[in-house]
Amino acid sequence: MNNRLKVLRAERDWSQAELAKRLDVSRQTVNAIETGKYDPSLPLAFKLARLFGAPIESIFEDD
Amino acid sequence: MSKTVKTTRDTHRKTGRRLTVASAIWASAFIGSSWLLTRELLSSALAQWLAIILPGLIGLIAILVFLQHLRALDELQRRMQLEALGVAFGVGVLYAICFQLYAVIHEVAGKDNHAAAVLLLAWIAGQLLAKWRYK
Repeated sequence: MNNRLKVLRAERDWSQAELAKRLDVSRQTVNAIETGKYDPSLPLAFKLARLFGAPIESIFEDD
Repeated sequence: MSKTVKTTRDTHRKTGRRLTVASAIWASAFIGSSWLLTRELLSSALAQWLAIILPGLIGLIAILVFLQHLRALDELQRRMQLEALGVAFGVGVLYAICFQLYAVIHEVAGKDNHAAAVLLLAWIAGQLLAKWRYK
């Protein structure tokens, strides 16, 4: 699954550590999602969508 | 007045520290009991049983602490633990089968079964593999 997490994070000038803190997950989790090595659960995807104020489908897209 | 908000990450660190302490106590108790039993320093049957039961009880507490730690992890860390435990379980079963077959053709004592060490090493290797995979 592809995602625009890195772009959205860069737009806000947040580091991975900062985003991880806001999501209450580890920095490794943020990195793994950004690099497409790990697809987040639905609750975490909703949390991301709320944080960036964007619908889930605009952050994540199927391959 | 500031209000302290406990995050999952804080809990994870706290349970991680608890797990380290519990594991260290467990290992010390096991090593101590092994030392006392192998040198036959415990003469009474009650003391010998205590030396066997005590590390077991501490081990049970360590398992509960480990479960608490697992619950405090975030979803990726939990997946990594699952993969590591999968590796440990698989290697443990393989070792047990091989040891059993080896015991059929060779005379081996129970103390030659290093299943605990194999499981522990496989769990550590599994964690390293998972860390590398999701790096």
